[in-house]
Amino acid sequence: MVRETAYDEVFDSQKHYRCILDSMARPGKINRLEPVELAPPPGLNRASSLAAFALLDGDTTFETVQMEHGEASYLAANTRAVRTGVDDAAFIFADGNQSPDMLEAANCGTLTYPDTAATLVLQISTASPQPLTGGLGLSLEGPGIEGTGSLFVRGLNPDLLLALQARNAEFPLGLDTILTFEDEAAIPYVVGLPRTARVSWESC
Amino acid sequence: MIENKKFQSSYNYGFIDESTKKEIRRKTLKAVCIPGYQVPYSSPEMPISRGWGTGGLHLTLSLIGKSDVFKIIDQGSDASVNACNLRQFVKMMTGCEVTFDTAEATIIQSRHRVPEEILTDQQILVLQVPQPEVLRGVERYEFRTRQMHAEADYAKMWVSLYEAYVRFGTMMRGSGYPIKVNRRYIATPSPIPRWDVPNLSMANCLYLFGAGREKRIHAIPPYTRVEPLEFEDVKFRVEDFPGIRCSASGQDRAFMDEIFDDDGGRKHVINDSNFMDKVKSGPRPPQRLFTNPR
Repeated sequence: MVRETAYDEVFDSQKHYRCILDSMARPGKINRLEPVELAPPPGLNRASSLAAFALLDGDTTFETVQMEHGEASYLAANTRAVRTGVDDAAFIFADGNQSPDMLEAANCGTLTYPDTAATLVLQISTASPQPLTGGLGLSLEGPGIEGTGSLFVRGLNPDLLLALQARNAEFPLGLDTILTFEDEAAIPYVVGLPRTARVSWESC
Repeated sequence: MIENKKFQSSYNYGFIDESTKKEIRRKTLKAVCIPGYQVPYSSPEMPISRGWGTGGLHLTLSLIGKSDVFKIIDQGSDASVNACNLRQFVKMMTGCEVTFDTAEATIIQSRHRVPEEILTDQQILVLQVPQPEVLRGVERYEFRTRQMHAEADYAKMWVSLYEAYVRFGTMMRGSGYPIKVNRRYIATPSPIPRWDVPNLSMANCLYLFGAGREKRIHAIPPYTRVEPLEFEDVKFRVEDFPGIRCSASGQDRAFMDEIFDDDGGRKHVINDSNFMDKVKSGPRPPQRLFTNPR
């Protein structure tokens, strides 16, 4: 089991939190996280790990979906968060290529307490403000976006977006998503997709 | 004696311990994702009493890092006792830069005012909120107001505005005018004057609201529609200052304080102290002004 020692619990988490907050406040904006030397298991990218380190602790629950290489024990060991099933998890780590079945069980909060809904950390291959061949072009509307925003992603299953759209149809209920990826130089990035973001997409 | 320098200071960086900071951060993220909804949070003990700006302080200390530039104002003034004390505390606990200059700051904590100068997308405004529940005046029980928010049942609020109009000929409240955020939740903008309310809508910066005593956080993300409650025939209006100029700078088109002299005379000065300093010494900073309907 890898215990990350290079990560600074005080200052790295503060910097990364500010990036994640900016991402959630401005959906579709790609934010670079300051890299930290990490050795996460193969199923988890560095951006997801850093988001987990910034937000998870012993008081939170999480679940990893279809990750078979010790990702869950890695997150538990480094954040002290408790692993539960998808239905109870406050944070769900999954891959963007997955089938949307897992979203059915995810917690969308209640009308009186919509803040209890889960946060979805979705790993994608890459995202860019410029068109990516073989990827998806997303157009975004809603709070935090001036007019209409656009984002191009690769490694995101459109069925997942469709399922997410269905789960977010009844605002204030819904799932908040953090898209994570790393580039060739292993620099981690995050993009926010809160439940208020209205997403439409086409392949390009 | 602990050898490691990192652990030699008697407080954690930013006073609050890391796990409580994380909790506040998670709640803040949810608040941003549900604009206008009040997220309950832990509201840890601070070295000042609850209700004296602890909510703002919690948000500030959970946000702030070493590279931040911090500004704090109280009723528009950088130099009031409350602002000075909190500024000193934040500086002591974080070692960050502090400033009076609105344009220079990355985090601005405020009580009762939104700065006159337009804030940019690099800035976060943290507002201290005494009473986050805008419906408390019409419904005393928390579980009922929560239900009302859940069902978007704001009839009582509309009736109270109507009654105020019928009784007093105006539905205007002095401060804390109710707003509808993103066409869903009715929220309080904190006790800012009506003058500042239009600046919350479609802004560049992120607004965070912390109510320490009531243990609630809510947020208005940038580019979010914020509408003050109004009727079709009775419209929202900001304060008028007809023919009034600031006695210190000679300028108008800013929120004014009325000051009474010992001899019974009165004069006005611009309330935002940094804005007044700027218009006195140089060009007028960019401002968003609301025009009252006729």
